[in-house]
Amino acid sequence: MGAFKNMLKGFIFTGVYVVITIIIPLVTFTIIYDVAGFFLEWNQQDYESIVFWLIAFGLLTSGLAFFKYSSPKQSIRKAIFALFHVLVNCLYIWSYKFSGATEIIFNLEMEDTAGFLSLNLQQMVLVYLGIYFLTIILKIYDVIDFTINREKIRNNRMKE
Amino acid sequence: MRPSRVFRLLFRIFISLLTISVTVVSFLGGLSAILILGNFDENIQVDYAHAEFNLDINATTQRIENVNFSLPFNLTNAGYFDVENLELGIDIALNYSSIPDLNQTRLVKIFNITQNFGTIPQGATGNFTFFGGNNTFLHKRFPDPVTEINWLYGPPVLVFYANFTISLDYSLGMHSLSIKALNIKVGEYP
Repeated sequence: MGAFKNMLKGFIFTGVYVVITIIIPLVTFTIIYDVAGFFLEWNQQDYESIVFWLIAFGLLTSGLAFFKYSSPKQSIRKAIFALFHVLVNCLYIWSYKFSGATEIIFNLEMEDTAGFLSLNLQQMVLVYLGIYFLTIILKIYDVIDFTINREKIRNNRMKE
Repeated sequence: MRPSRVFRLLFRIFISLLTISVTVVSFLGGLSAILILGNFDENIQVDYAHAEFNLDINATTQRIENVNFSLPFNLTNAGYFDVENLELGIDIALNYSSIPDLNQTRLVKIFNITQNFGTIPQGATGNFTFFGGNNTFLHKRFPDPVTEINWLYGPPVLVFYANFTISLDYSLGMHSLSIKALNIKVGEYP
């Protein structure tokens, strides 16, 4: 019963990650590209590059979410998958930077003036990566903790 | 609960609070950008009409004696945080008909300066004047008025075009905004 519950949990969280990391950003970027495309400095290639990296790392992070959430609570397996999951999440966030999604450039066409308006969110991505770095420390701590206290955790699990 | 788990829980709470704070700041920063840019004409006023470009050419020697440029501009911070690192960068290019190729005009960059105007507190309006004095112009780039400029072209013989770049940081530098206006005529001679 426990194994089935864990598997179900894994599938549910995979679905949640697919929605959060692929579907919502994909819909957002598609709407931006379709609606504001005329005013944007993006071309088809930029859009495709963003979508490619979004889907690539989104699938990786969603796949790892299954292994992380389907593993038993406080197991070494869960700690290791959680660590990999955070690392892949970092790559996913970093992909926004290198795919060009963090710099949005609009064309400005006013009465007698032409120009650009650019919004740069790279610093925001770096701040989030800083927070992820703390999470990596936490996950490494988990791996060490679960390894050292393996017997104690196993005994507690048996009692439950 | 094991002591190691209690320590982990406290660390987890700290990370969660940090994430929530950064997310709230990012969201409000994005909203502020919309508030500022939503009313672009009122919040960012670069007064091209009052830009002054003074060029003094000695009538007898035809040498440039003095050149300066000033541009007033206002920025209203309609967002939730202070605007930091407000910069205005201006490139000025001189367009003229050159003597060897009479049918062609040449464009040379004679000015390239960025000035920092510091911080505008939340809700305040900053009134600034960008000024570029004679010594900030790239005098070596100016064509020789006697041997290189075709004075039979025009008038105007000399036309000055500028590119303006306003850049600013918002919400602890997490949002950087840059607005660039291109090829605006700022002066002519005679």
